[in-house]
Amino acid sequence: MSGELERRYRALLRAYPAAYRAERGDEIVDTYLDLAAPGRRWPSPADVADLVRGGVRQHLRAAGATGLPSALPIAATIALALNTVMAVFWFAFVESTRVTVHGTDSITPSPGYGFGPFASLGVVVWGCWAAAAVAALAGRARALVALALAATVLVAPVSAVLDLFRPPAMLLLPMIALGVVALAVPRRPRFTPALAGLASTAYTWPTMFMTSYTPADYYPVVGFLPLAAGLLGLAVLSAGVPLAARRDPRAWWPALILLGPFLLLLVNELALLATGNNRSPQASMPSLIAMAVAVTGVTALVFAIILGVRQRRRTWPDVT
Amino acid sequence: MDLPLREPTFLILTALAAGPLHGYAIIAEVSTLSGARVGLRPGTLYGALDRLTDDGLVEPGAEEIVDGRRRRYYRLTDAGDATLRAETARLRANAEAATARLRVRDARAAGKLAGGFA
Repeated sequence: MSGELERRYRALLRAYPAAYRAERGDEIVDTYLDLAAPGRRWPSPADVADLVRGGVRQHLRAAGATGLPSALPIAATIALALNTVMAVFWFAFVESTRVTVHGTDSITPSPGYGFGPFASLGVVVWGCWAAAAVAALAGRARALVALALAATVLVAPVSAVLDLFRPPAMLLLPMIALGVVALAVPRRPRFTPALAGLASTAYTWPTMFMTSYTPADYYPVVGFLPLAAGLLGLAVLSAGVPLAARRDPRAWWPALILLGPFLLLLVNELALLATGNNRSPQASMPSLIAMAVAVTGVTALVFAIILGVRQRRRTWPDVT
Repeated sequence: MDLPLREPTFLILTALAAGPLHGYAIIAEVSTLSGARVGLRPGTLYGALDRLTDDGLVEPGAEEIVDGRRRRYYRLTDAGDATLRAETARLRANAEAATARLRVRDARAAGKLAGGFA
């Protein structure tokens, strides 16, 4: 029975680098066996998660990227804050304006337009992100971030099935990428996302009233995405500079973690630039898809190069 | 390592303060010290021990085989001792400051109560 359990723990140890496994594998498995209740045959789900997490950490340690796991909470807080800012923005400038545009005047909405008093199912997604920012105040955001991320992923296919108007992909894609990072939001109270949401509220509604803004559509406001990229850059700098000044190993890892979402926020501009399209404010769907694939590839390549260089430096310190 | 220490790190260093321990004993000691509130799993523990070793606060020592299981002992280094002392002093200062303020609060509440009866 114990042999069966040991074999299963050893199979899970494959998450660790081979060299580490050879050196420490017996010690880790034997400690698990010491802790196991008599008669146990399978590792618990928590043990599986613990070993996988430990394995990932050891791979990063082997690559000299020990600052990466501890930088994740910083990157996650920034990601959640930016998604909250955008959720408030889309709700104010698009979803809430439908109430005034189509609720009282004579404009006939196009087929599939509208979800109750709002413009689209997007209102549910933005509500989930706002709820996640509020939950972060109590350090309990993770489940709501997962829910908001699932809603962001599902809003396009669900709207397609129901034949409803929906937020455009160029807006959803960077929010999905930011949402994946935001899953690492710490279980300690975080005020930044809610404060960012409040700041976004303080900016959006007065602006709408001052400019009598009533488009009730997403395409006129996607021009906000480069501004969101600027905010992301500013947030990464504000977090990184003080950490770098203290020689904290986490300093620039949030920048690397958030590089993918940053480029995805600029995907429309990059696609327009790459295709030399200066006639339309929006790139065509094929060029957007090609650019999204390209920026994801570039991000993965940058990660691989940086980790590879750090690993070589650790393996052959005399070379540098 | 920067202060304040995270609670699991503080508890691991505290567990090792009385003498070298192997992984299973550290997990048991951390559980006892925290009143069973902090339950470390081996993957997390060995990750933390590697980090503390990288930072020079802990060092691995002798190994032994007990009942066919490998046990490696870890001990606190001088730097680990100094870090634990600094963190303990910081926590003590915080606790003393909080205790003093709570005494003031208790005294004020007692004064109000007495005033209420007068």
